[in-house]
Amino acid sequence: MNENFEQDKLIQELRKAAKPVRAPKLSEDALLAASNAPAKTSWRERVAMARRSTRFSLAGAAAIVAISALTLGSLNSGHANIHITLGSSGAQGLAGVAGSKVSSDMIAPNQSYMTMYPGFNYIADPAMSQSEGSGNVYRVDQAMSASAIMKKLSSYFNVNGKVETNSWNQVGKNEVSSLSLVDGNLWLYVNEPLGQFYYSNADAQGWGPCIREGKANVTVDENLNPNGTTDASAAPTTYCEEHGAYTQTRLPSDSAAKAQALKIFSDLGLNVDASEISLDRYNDPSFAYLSATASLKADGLPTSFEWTIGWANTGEISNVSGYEVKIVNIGTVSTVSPTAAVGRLADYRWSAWCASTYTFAAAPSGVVKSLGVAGTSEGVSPTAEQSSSTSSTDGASPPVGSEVVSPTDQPTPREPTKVDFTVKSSKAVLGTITDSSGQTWILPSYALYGDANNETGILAGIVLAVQDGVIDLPTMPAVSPLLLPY
Amino acid sequence: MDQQEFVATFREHLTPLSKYLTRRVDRIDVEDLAADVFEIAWRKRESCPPDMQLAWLYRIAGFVVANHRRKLGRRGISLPLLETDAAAPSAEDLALSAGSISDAFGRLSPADRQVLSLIAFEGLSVAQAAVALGISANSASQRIKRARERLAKKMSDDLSDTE
Repeated sequence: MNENFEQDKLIQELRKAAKPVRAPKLSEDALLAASNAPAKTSWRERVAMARRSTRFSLAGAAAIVAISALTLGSLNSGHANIHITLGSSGAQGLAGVAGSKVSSDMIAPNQSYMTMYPGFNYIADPAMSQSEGSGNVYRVDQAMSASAIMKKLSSYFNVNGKVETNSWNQVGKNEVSSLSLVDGNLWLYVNEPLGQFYYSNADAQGWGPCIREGKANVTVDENLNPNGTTDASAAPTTYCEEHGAYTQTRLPSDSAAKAQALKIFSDLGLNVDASEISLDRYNDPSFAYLSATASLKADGLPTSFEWTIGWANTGEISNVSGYEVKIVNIGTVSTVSPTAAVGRLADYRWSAWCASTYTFAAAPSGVVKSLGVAGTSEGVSPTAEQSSSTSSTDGASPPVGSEVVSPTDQPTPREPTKVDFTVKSSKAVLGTITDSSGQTWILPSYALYGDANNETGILAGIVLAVQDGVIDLPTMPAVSPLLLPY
Repeated sequence: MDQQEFVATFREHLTPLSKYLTRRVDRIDVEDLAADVFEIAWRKRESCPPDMQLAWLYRIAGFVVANHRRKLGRRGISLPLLETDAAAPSAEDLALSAGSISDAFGRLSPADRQVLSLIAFEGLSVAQAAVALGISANSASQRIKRARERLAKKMSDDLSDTE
């Protein structure tokens, strides 16, 4: 099956390292149920139907939002009475508790921080502030339609062709669209509901000579098949499977990169100073990349909405990404003290997302590993099950994993070992969350840093700083210990 | 494709799909998410490439897993730029005893982990991985090669750090 990388030693090593999967046995009923399900009305179709209805109006739409997500009341002591319904209840929350490994996946590339890990005892250092305060709440809305964003970007980057609409994504209860435009090796993507865009120029990456060719048995090139279908009768496509080293790196200088980034950001509507652009450079004989990143700001503080420009080893721009959003100030709310916020670290429902500048803390690589995976601590030997499973994995028989178990066959839970995590400092940041309806908000939050396991300066997490009651938290299910790998 | 053909076509992919999902989400969610995948597959069945049903299912599953994680984390904006990359397995899916490769894999970007896992864990060919990622075979080949290079470099760096 894996004809192209069957002999690749690194891929084989990776395969051998994978844990065997004990996957639930799926019933054929899932297929029957799916094919018996009524046709699902898309979000656009529902909006179109609603528009045809005499009951639909702007006021009606606003009322729906108010019920599901936000209640704005009268000002109280100068602070708006803001209430946001977050997350979900029941099953989704249950999965979230066992989700420390899931949340680690959500960390953006080159960001490294400690996930909210149920194996920690979070302790606030006595020197931390106990002062309460206040902060602003912002609503984040897409600034223009996805098609308008696509039109603007395709014109700017000179990407031509037919825009494809993909409606497989769901936010809250709404199905939202992703637009894509492929023009040779130029790609443009725009995703609702936050106007997230991505421009890619694969030609910007320089390659060394081809030292090994591969063949695709069917044609899957979007240019030849704009509808995404394949033609089995088409001639096999050859491509380069392995390139030699490319050594002619022409990344721009820091000043040139900042100047170019400033112009592109400005042309596309993001106005920042050169001092607000951070550069990240990587260079070795076979791979080179430079990126320039700037954040959208709210009241002078960076948000998690970042725009990035990347240069590949030819010196050409390889990618540009960002968000076409507007940030609307809703009002001011009271906040808890940094010391009180430490108590929220162990509850995933208070977690938020913030600008990457705060997450480049000195989190040592492998910190999660050093603290143990899925509840084990350093010094605890792998179970016999782990050892035997690992050693018995046969790299010559992909795909990895060979055992399928019944849904009722549950492994035995094991209590995680607790590790003390002393939080020593905090920074007031703007945290981003999405509520149960899919609406995104920016709330006053804290980035909390501390020491654990002989490591210092670790980012413990980003937690919301709003007082209790502003956020309607989903029901916290009974916590079950994380399951050991099996 | 009618219901009978749909069931006959995708029956053999029940187990691979279950493994794909188990590697990426909590086991208790696998059946629900598989149902979501097949519901989408049924709606989009006319766009399924011939002889690429499993890779196409993985593409749908990538979206479903990414959306599932977004709901769990309530972080609508944390998705990587190509949505299916958010479905990449974590480093914790590798055995602890594997040491350096587990650590290096964990420090790759979600995009790199996703493309490598399709090849190494799901056992797809480059052409199948291309369908699963929604890109051309040439692009898939380039992405695999770059991800592989970065994995090798991180392992090499780790080795030199310990010497």
